[in-house]
Amino acid sequence: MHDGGQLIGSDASELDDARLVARIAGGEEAAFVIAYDRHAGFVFASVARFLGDREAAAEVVQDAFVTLWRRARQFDARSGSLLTWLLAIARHRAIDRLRAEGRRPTRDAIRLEAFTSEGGSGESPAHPDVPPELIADAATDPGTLAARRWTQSVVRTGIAELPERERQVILLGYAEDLSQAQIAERLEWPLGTVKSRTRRAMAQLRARIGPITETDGAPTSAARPGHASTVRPDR
Amino acid sequence: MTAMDHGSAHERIEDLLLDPARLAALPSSTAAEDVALREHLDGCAACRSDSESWTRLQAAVSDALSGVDPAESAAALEVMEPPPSLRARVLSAVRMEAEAALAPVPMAATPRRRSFDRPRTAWLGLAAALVVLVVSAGLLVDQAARLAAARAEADGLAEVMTAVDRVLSEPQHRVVSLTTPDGTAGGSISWTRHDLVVLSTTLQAPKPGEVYRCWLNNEGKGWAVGRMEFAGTTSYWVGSLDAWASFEIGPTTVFRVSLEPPGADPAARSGPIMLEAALGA
Repeated sequence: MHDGGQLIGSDASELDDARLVARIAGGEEAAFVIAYDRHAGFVFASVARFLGDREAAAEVVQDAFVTLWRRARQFDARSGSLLTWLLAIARHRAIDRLRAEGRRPTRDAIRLEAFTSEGGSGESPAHPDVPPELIADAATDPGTLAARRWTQSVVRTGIAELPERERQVILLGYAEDLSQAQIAERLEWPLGTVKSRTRRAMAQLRARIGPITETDGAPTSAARPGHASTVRPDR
Repeated sequence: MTAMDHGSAHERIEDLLLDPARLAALPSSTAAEDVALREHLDGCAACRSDSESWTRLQAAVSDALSGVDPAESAAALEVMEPPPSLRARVLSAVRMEAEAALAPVPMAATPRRRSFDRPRTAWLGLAAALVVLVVSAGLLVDQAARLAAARAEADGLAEVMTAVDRVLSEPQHRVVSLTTPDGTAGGSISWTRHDLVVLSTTLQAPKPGEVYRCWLNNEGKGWAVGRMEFAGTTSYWVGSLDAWASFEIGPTTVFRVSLEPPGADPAARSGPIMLEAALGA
């Protein structure tokens, strides 16, 4: 092994993930560092949203990347991207944590609500990203809720990492239920610009997190509770 | 109505994509273009797969943003960065893996079958060569391990120095001394609105399984916020206060480092407090 970030021979920073992982499988630490820098932020943010606990998320991310180092030879680019692979590993680790904590109901709520609580007593400050229903319903159907929560966490991370303008149109369209014309009016952008940014945002999301939405945690319809599903006239 | 071709089908899908609900409502739509699209999808697996993929993505985006109050969307969709120390931790863990992989495998002393016709001197020569090989490999492994450990320590120190630079460059930074239980100075803790850096040279390296855990206490409540890392005789922890949006360092805030025994629950402090500092003082 050699110094992290200093690759002897050729520059790995431009390599696609498949070639990068091939180098990692060959024991190249510099290739591993590039993979970490490329994907750790997304994996961390997804796990942190899912667990509502950044310290635990850091441990999960560490596990996921050590697994990448150990099992790089098992990566098959034809089956999906490296990010998808890392997220799958992290998902298992993170859900394992929830399950382990589910065996200790007292700690469960504390861990899910926020961070770990010294002494296990007293109320912890609620983390803004952990929905109450996950805590309240975890005992009834933890698997389904956890899978759905995972997909939500990854998708939110994908949206959070969109460029500002693309994020705006997605938020206005999906969270505020505005039409393209209403978004154009709100942002004072030409309608064509709103449409092209919406398409670009969706394309970026599909490229990055598309496979995640095909797991068992993904909802099957865009219509959701409390969300208007009325079909609008063509605009 | 003429049959829709691939290009027109994709254009129509892109149009439907602009609205969160319309692609999902395609099966029941009576609009002429949608009926034509449905007919095309019935006979075109590639376009059908594409349409289904977009529909799933739309549903996932819709579900992910359900319950997000537009006024609080910035908090729900904040960009979360991993802690700066994580990179060094991951690299250190990977280097330990590499060292383990380099460890010498015990060599079989007994040949699978005896070879009486082989000259005894040849066995002695082979044994001598093996001894040299094993000793050399041991030295190499030892050197590799030392080198890897030194690199991990250097990476760790580089991370902490970067954090210290960042803290000290902030005009609003604060620095407080850490004290041991008997009141002697045991290091320092410095912080800004965003970062918190702990440095100490008084902690002994933990025994296997033991962890120096960091805690923030406020008005009787405490939170485990991290664990001390070691680089030689220097122990450190770098944290981000951005991670705890609802946590404010106030007049009663105390930072503590405890020594947790092997297998201790990371959620509850069970070991003795080794270092402490009142941040609100």
